Amino acid sequence: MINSLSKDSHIVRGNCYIKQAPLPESVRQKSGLNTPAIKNGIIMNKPAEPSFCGFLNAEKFYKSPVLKKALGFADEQQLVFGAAYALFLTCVMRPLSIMLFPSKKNQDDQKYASAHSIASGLIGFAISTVVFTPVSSGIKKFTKNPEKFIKDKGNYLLKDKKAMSSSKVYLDRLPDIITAVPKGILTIALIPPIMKYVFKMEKKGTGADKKATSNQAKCLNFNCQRPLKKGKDPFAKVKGGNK
Amino acid sequence: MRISSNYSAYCSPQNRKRQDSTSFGGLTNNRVFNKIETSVAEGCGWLVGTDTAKKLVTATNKQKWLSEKLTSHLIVLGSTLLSGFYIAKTLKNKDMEESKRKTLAINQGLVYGLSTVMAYVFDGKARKYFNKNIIAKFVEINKKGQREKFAKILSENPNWDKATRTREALKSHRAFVKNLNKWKDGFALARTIIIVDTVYRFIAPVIVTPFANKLGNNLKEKNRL
Repeated sequence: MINSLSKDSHIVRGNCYIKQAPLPESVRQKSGLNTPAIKNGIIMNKPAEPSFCGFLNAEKFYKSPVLKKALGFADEQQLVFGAAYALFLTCVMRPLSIMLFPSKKNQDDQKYASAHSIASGLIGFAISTVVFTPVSSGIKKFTKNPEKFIKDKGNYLLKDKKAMSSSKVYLDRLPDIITAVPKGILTIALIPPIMKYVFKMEKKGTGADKKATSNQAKCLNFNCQRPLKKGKDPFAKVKGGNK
Repeated sequence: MRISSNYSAYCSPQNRKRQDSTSFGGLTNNRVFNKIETSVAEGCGWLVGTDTAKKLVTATNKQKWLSEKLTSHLIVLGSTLLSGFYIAKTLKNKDMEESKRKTLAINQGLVYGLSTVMAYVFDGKARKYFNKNIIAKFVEINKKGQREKFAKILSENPNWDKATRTREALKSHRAFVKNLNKWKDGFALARTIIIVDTVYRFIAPVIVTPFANKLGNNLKEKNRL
């Protein structure tokens, strides 16, 4: 069985991928290289194929219309594709990792951090989709027909393909670079109201601190008309001074 | 509004014609959307004609390291601007003590630095593997599928003469090559976007941040901020 495996072994032979000249018939018969695999033209040395342990058929996956649609979308609307992937990371992967990985923080802090991640992902995706969809479509319209939109007909881009492809990459990423900081500012500004009104979560410590300072202010209000309650005088324990 | 139950009209070839490009239904047929689209395209035409753009593109194409991985460099540039903004905001935050501000800014800087290095390393390694194994395999399988599909069309139309067969073959081949180039470019873009975004938005906060915090605290103890 081991011998037949080695003779018929066309599955994995590492990354070795050298083309060999076909051996003459007599040599093949003597060396035993006359197996059905070789007769049917199956190549001996092949690069390792991606395998998903039988769960996913690579050929079906590469032919699937869903994959082709996704690849077409990535090519035409790469900024929105990036925003959609970022949405998946911030709304699914990060909250899962926060809740699943053990941490010194308590459960409430972990829930707050997860909600914060989801809120920032949703805001980023909404802004990116609204702003980048028409911009990416416009850039695509330009790259499909640049002669229509470049007024100077002797422009170097119309003659040089490499320059055209570099300028296409710059145009595709320029909206993301320009809007990086404004998008960050808007996301930071919108997270607290979304956390408060959508997720019903507030940042801990702000309410309690405010209450403590206002109570202290009441005790120290020398113009207060109401008499202080017994035992609430903050200066009762102060010693020293002129009597 | 009367809902039509005309199933045969729904299934007709005219109704089932799908567009080649991604469609957002009613949105892309909107007049306002089309105006914005045309304005952006005209703006691009003006922008690429400027001297600055010409100098930038020429300088980019002279350097191989820049032109080969231009998409990765531009994604990292966007992340650099955003990280710089967050670090500057932290340093100006008056609600925090000065030492705490500096520690937090150093942590954010370390996270950014480590994430950037990781993004470049992973993207570089994945690029070679992808091009050799995944994209090449994708092209091979789809070319084979296209040949089988056209052979099936030919077998279904035995009455076609040679001229018709050649014309249909050219038409089918051109459409396939156009789509194949679009899918190959999409693969390359998706690979870069997925790797860089995963490093900056998942690996950095989950794995790099605790490591950077430890490093930042060690630096703080050594320099006594």
